[in-house]
Amino acid sequence: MKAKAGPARQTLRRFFRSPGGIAGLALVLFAITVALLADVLAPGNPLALDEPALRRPSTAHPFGTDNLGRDLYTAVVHGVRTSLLVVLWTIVIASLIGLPLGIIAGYRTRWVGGGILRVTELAQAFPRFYLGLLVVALFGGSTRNLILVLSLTSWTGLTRVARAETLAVKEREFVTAARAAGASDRRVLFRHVIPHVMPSAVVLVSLLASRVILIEAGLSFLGLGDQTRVSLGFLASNSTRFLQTAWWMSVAPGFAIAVAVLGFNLLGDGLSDALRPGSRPGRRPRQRRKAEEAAPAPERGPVSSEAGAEAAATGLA
Amino acid sequence: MSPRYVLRRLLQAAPTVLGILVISFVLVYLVPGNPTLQLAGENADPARLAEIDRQFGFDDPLHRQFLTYVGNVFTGDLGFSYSQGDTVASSIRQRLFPTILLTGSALLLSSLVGIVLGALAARRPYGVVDGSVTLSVLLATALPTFWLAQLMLLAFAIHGGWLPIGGYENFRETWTGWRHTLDVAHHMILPVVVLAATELALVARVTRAGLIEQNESDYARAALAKGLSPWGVIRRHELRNVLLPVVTILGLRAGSLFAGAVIIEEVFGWPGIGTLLVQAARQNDRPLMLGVVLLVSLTVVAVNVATDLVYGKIDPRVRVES
Repeated sequence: MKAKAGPARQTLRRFFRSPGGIAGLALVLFAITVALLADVLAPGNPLALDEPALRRPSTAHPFGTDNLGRDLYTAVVHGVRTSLLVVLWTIVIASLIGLPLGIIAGYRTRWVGGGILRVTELAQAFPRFYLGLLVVALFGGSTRNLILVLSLTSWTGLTRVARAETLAVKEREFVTAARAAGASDRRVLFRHVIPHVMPSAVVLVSLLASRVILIEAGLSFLGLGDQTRVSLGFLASNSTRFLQTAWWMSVAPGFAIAVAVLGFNLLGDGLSDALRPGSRPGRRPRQRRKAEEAAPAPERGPVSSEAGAEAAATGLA
Repeated sequence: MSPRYVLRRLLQAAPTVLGILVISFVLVYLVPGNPTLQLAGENADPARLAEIDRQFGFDDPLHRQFLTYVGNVFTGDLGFSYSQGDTVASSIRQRLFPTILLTGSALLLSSLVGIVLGALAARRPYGVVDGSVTLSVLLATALPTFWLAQLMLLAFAIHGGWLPIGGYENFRETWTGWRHTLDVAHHMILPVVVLAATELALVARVTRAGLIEQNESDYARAALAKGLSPWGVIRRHELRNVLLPVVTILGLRAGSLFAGAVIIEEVFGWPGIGTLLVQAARQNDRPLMLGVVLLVSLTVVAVNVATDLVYGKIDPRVRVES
């Protein structure tokens, strides 16, 4: 998108007109800020047990304290940092595996592409929550293991979307023209294919981030996460036993997860709307636009539905 | 539906099943820790170690061990679970029904409510109802399953006291017959509602999108023109066409449904295979863990195949194209 200023600016303008997208961006930025400034916002060791146990929320402890006398505000702030750390590494590794594979599979459709597609389907068939649970239980729930298993189960969606987008752009006239003018594979890839794949990839990465947060939280909730770090899932699981006596213990950790997940979801939806005009307008459409909406733009139609199915497939499975 | 289509779809699933078996085998094989040493103790003499190796086939070549493993899986021999003191197959069998009850009811409930919500939203796209449905669906997907479960417990079980806080049945009573059924149903309400709520979103979204597309079709316009109400058009005509994609995503949902079930069972103390898996993981009971994961993975594959077959049955185009 950077190659041409016009469409990029239009996309940005469309994005900033959708309230959902802006809200998503704000929530994500908020979560990132909290994670980056965790030590400033909540100084002190989040695992320190020096406060009185089971105190209700008060000015000294805005989220209360838990059964062992940990300040929940400090714990949640550092838990957000853990979540986002896992998310960041996971989406980086998953993109580094998934996008090149998808672009190759779309560009070289015959043997290599077919092979990649088969492997992708195979990797997708394994329910990822269970695979993650198995790996973490067998090899230990260190943050490194969590990131590894989450990345190794998350790249498939990116591969499929990158492949679909590459297939679509490969047949366009400007690519044929570039090739006829003597452009090398390399030039076609970097100049045309990759910029074309990026928008869908960005949308999917955003939605993927929210799934990763939920899966990480789920595994830590089951007591299989990293025990040496504060994680939101672990805080939540600890609170289950105290639901009857200390309701506040279960409020803050879950709320923090929900905020981050909602943020990434809204951001993904907003980006998706902005990048694919006509496919799903964020605002109430005028009568004229209704027809466009019913018939999605031909070249984008199948692609966006692929990305949609992908987004769905990146569920907690 | 031709037998050839059925056969081809079944054959397509074969590499997936093989892949699942290979991955699970490799995972367990890669795990640090020597099983022979664990069985014999650190100080056993070499003769005893060799005997154990021979007895359990640990000295066989790798591919031989894999074939034995596959053979065992297909004959239902999943090994012995030391945390349960029973065979893996039997431990799982005892826990199977509650999980099927939970996931099955949640699947049914979420499909029904999802379709209704999607239809309500599609009646007037971008209207008030559509907006609130979209918003609540968005929120329901963002809430972590365990948090929704905790909040519902706080509201309906702890604060309200209307519903039990967890478990499968009332242990203090020894009810049988319909009294027992009612008791289980009472315990089921919260877990099923929470699991269904997290599953709603996809169905509602697919239904809504499908109906909005159908609204533009000629037959819908004709039905409107003959005097049917918009709601009537949706109910009588369009919903049938939209049910196809709703069926398709069933396969997709199976995985997330089982994943959600693990967490729900853990929160509500529901005695299904989810809690069994978590117990196994905590006590490092590898045969049991592997057994549950294999069962769930193979079930998800089977659901996907079944969905495709059903889909092929309803929509002839699928059979011809694939």
